[in-house]
Order: sequence, then structure tokens, then C-alpha cells
Amino acid sequence: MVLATDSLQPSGLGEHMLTLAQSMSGRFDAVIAAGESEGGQGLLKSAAEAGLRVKAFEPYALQPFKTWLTQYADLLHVHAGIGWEGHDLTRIGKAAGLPVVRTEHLPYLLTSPVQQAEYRACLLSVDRVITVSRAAYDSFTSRHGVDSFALVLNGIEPKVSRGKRKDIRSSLGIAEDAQMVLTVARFTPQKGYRSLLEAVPKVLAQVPRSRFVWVGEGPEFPELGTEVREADLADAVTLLGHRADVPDLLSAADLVVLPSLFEGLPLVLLEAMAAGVPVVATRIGGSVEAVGEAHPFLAQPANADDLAAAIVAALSDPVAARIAAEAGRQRFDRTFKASRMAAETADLYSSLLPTPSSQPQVRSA
Amino acid sequence: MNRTRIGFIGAGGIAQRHLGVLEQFDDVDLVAFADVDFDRALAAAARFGARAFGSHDELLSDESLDAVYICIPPFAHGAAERAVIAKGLPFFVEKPISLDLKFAEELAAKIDAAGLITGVGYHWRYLDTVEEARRQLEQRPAQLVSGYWLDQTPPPQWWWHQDQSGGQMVEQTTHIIDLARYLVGDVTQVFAMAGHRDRADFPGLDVATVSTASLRFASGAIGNIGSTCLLNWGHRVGLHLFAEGLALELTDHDIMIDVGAGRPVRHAEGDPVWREDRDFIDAVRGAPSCIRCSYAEALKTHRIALAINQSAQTGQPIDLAAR
Ligand SMILES: NC(=O)c1ccc[n+]([C@@H]2O[C@H](COP(=O)([O-])OP(=O)(O)OC[C@H]3O[C@@H](n4cnc5c(N)ncnc54)[C@H](O)[C@@H]3O)[C@@H](O)[C@H]2O)c1
Repeated sequence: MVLATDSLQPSGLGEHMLTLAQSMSGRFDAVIAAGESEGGQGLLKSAAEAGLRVKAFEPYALQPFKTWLTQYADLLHVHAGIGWEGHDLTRIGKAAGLPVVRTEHLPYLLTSPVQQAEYRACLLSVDRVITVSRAAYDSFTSRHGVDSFALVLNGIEPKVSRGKRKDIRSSLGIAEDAQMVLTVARFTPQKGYRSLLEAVPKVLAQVPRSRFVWVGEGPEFPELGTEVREADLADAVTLLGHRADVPDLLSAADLVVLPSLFEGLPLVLLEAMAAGVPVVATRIGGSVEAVGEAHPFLAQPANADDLAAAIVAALSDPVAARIAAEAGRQRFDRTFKASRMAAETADLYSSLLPTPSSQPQVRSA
Repeated sequence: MNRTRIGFIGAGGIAQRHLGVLEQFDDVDLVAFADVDFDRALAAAARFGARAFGSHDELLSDESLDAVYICIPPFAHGAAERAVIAKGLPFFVEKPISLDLKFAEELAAKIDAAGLITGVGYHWRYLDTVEEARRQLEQRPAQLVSGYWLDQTPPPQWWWHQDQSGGQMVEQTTHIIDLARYLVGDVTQVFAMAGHRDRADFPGLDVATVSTASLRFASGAIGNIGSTCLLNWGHRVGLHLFAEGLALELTDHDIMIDVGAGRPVRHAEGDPVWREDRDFIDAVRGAPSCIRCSYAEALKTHRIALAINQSAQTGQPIDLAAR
């Protein structure tokens, strides 16, 4: 099984691929394949460190990769961050005579007719498209019918924090009696940092001891850093850049906020739920699916007032926050474990592979 | 077809040379790479859809292999070979096999006891020109041997240090010593001298910058081999042999055979490393072994190289037959 992406910044998507490959290892031997971009190399390194097999390819010269697939692969599983990614990969997978599966990590977002047409064409070389949330599933099937699509809810293998909460907080300069509000998301417009920045003073006005910690990289990072300083919020907001110790940061946090405008099924919410940390999310497809319709702390996307209100509600009612967190933990266990995702994905693979008795000696293209 | 699963320990320069050959074999799978520089292991693994490890221990415990290539610098030999032998795996190892003779002898004994297939990277034995030289010398055995490694200084810093590379005779000229053994037979006595100049462009370089060794062979032939790393280019790397009515000059890419009718030069054909790797893989796959240099053979060459160092250091001739 080859799990491949040509995404230039496979952050959450890369995590997902690693989780899937590791959780399936009992049933299928997976290779992680990525393009020779900086992000792709980073993914391959993480994969290799996790003991997985790795394969690099040249995104604009895929012929050697196709040859390699023909020789070594039984199935190609392409992971796309957004609808225009991964088309060339799916095409060479088909050309190599393989069953091709494609996971869409976001809802259907294509607006340009050219891209939409490309997507339709790409569906012809895909055996099955996996969507990672019900909302994403609906967004695709409403346009393309249900035939090619499958729903396999995202799942994660929660990582355990190694550090002590107290030590981690002090290393971040967070006082014991402060309320640490953590956001882990790439600095792109999609993630809605702007509305969060606008919400910060409103939250401080009511919960003066709240401290915001933002983790991630991305194009908006420098700009938002400047805006934080200009708004005189440098004491209240810390931008950490990329961190490899998110489980530790989660264990130090009092609340997790994800202000996104759209999502597939956001991993950071699942991580927070698994760790029993209360969350504030926006009322958008994938996020609501993660936390559940009944979740008490939901805000309208791109609405700073609403977001501030939800954060204040969670911070000022610790009992309600704790109940919501416990409900989240149970919901995680029931629905979002990597083992469940891996089992469903492996079943889907099996349905596309030739059955052992009829397996041809030489694969025909 | 079941493919032979190969793992690499060391993924530097010479490993790339073997990879370029092995990737052409459709009965070989390159499945795992270990290098103390993890990024090198990763880069090699990502070429082949393989796994990467930061140490030979992880490689050997986590991956099921049919054979191992050990392509590490001279000073690094030891633990890797022991672990590979303990696993009962056939292995190919690059020359020089180690800097420590005791260790190499201990390994040779273990390999022998376990009956393991081994190969060592003395690929000159696989030159078609060397086969031609052997045929010539069958009729007229060599009486005088004249060998050269007159070259530039290799860039890797470990090469510059006696305690890491063993110096030029052990690290490079060993190919010529091996070739002389292959064509002329066992060496019974060596007497060597070495000189050193400090060089501004190579800070810390402490290996001999010039060295020369006189050799006596069991056949009665005598000879000399000279090495220098003082040039900024490759000047001459090869072996000249002289017999009754025969002068023969070998380099790694051609042969000149002079029998008194001009000096015809013929280019070598084919890739000796390809043949070397093919023979090793075939033997691992169960064919009768055609490997031209096993660990035990390489040990005999290595003994001479180390004796040359010792003679240069002590100023005394060294009798090898007496050992
Ligand atoms: N047969 C030939 O013609 C030929 C040609 C070149 C080199 N060589 C020999 O090959 C050997 C290696 O030379 P090179 O040019 O590849 O050197 P190199 O420095 O390019 O590569 C050696 C690699 O081994 C790794 N390494 C060191 N110790 C290790 C250990 N304990 N475990 C795993 N990896 C380790 C290093 O990180 C490096 O990546 C030398 O002995 C050299 O003489 C032979």
C-alpha cells in the first residue's frame, strides 16, 4: 500500500497519513510517499523516524514514480489537502494498473470552473474517494453523486504528554493562576486567527488572567505577530511557531480554541478531546462533527463577538467546562480512535484488491 | 520471483556506487538503510521506498534481510560486522576491512565457523583486463612488480587521519596490493618507508604524504609500490608487471601489453563493480559462489598493508611468511 501526497505543506494531512499507516501495520505494509518539497521531506523524515517505509518522488516528473509503483505497489492511496491537489498522482496510479483511493481532507471548495472540470476528470481515475467528515461527504456527494464516495471519519492515536503541567507552563511563562487558551493551527486565513485576535481584548476585559498561546507556521505568521504587538497584546498572546510537543502544550492548557472558517475534521480538536481539555470551536461542518451538536461552546465563524462570548463562557464556568471536556473524552473514545479509522480503511482497501485465489501472477494495466 | 532483501549499513559515497548497480537487478529489493547520519539513511531510503535507521542495531532487529552491505569508513568497523555475523547474515563489506588486525582475524574465524558468504570490495579483480593479464602471466610469471597510487587527497576528513583511515597504503593502495597478490601470489616480506609534510590546505592531515614499500613474493618475484596524496589530480593509479619478454601495465580502465611489437593499449570493458555485486547476490541466492574476494582473501591483503605501515614505523623489514 502506498500512501502518497503532493501537498507542499502536509501538516495535519501528513499526521493523518502517519497515523493511518501505523495503525494499519498489522494488516498492510504501508509506504509513505511525498514530493521533494521541504514539507514533503519533513513528512518523509517523520515517517522514517516512526519506522515506516518512505519514498520520495519528483512532483513534476512522475514517470520514475510510476515505474516504481508498477513494480512494488498493490494500491495507491492519494491524500489531497484541497481539491486541486493530487490529480497527477491519481492518474499515474491508474496508469500503473493499481486500484486508486483518494482521501479528501477538506470539504468541496472548488469554485473555478476549470478546477471543477479537472476534479470531475480526476474522479475517472479514482476507485474510491474517502471523505473524513459527514459534512465533507455531503459537500462532495451533492455535486458528484454517491457512487465513488465513502465516509471514514478521521481518527487519531492520542499522544501522551511526557512533561509535568507545572513545568511546561512555567517554561511558557504562564503563571499558575493564569488561564491558558491554546490554539494549534497553521497561520492561514482558513484558520480564522483574525477573528481570534479581535476577540482577545474582549475576553481580557472579562477574564483578565487569560493568556493566549498560538502554535503553528504559515504565511500569516509574521503579519499577525506584528498586529499583536501593535494592538499592545504582546503580554497576553504568545506566538510559538512550529512545535513538536503539542501533547505537552495540551496538558498545560485550560482551553483549546479553533476559530476556523472551514475544516475537514480537525485533528487538533480530536487531540484536545482525547486529552480531556475543554474546547471552543466554530459552528462549521467538520468541527461540529468532532465536538458534537450538543457541545456548549460553539461560536459563529468569523465572528469575534461570538467567539469571545464562547471563550468567556468556557473560562468562567469551570464546572460546565469540565463536564464538556469529559463528554468530549468519551465521544473521542467512541468515535475517533485511529484503530477504527484504520480498520475501515483497510476494509475498503481489501474490497478493491484482487481476492487471493483470483490474484493474477502478472498485473494487467 | 522472490527478491533478495538487502540492507545497507553506511549510506555514503561508495554505498551510492553499489546502489547504482543493485537497483538494476530485478531480483534485489533494497529494503533498509542505516547510517549514523540519519538524513543520509533517509535520503537513500526515500529513493527506494525503504526504511531508514540511525544505527545498525535497529536495522538488524527491525527488518528481515537476506544480506547486508557494510559501507562504512575504516575506523567504524567492528560492532556492525559482529551483529551481522551474530544474525547469520551474508555480507559484503568495503575495503579496508578494519584498522585492527586482531579484530579482522577474530571475524574471519567466526565467518569461517558460521560458513557465511562474504564479499569484499576489491573490485579490480573483476576487470576484464585483469583476466587478460592473468592469462598472459600464466605463460610468463611476473618477476618484477611496480605499483602506484599517485593521487590527490580525498575530501572526507576521516581520510586525513591515521587513526581513522589507516593512511594511504591501507585505505587506497590496498587495491594495488590486492591486485599484486591476485596476479603474482603471496607476499613473504615487506620493507617500507614513509614521509610526511604538513599542508596548509589540509589542516590536521597527519597521514604519510609519501610512502614506498619493497615486496618479496613467494614466487621469487620482487617489487615496489609507491603512494602519494600530494597531487591535486589523479596522476597514476596502477600496476606494472615485467616478465621474460613481457611488460604489462594495468590501470583501472585499461591495459597495455608490450611483447616487443609496439605498445598497444586496450580499454577495459564493462563495470567491475556490476560483476562484483552480481557474483555476491548470485551466491546469496544459492548459486555456487564465484565471489573473487571473500573476507578471508581480503584479510591476506590487509595483513600486507598493515605490515607496510608497521615497517615504515619501525624501520625494520617484516617477514610475513613467519606469521
Ligand atoms: N572499492 C572502492 O573502490 C571504494 C571506493 C570508495 C570508498 N571505498 C571504501 O568504502 C568505505 C566508505 O567510504 P565512503 O567513500 O563511502 O565514505 P563516506 O564518508 O562517504 O560514507 C561513509 C558513511 O558511513 C557512515 N557511518 C560511519 N560510521 C557508521 C556506523 N558505525 N554505522 C553506520 N554508518 C556509519 C557515515 O555517516 C557515512 O555516511 C571506505 O573504507 C572506503 O575505502 C571503497
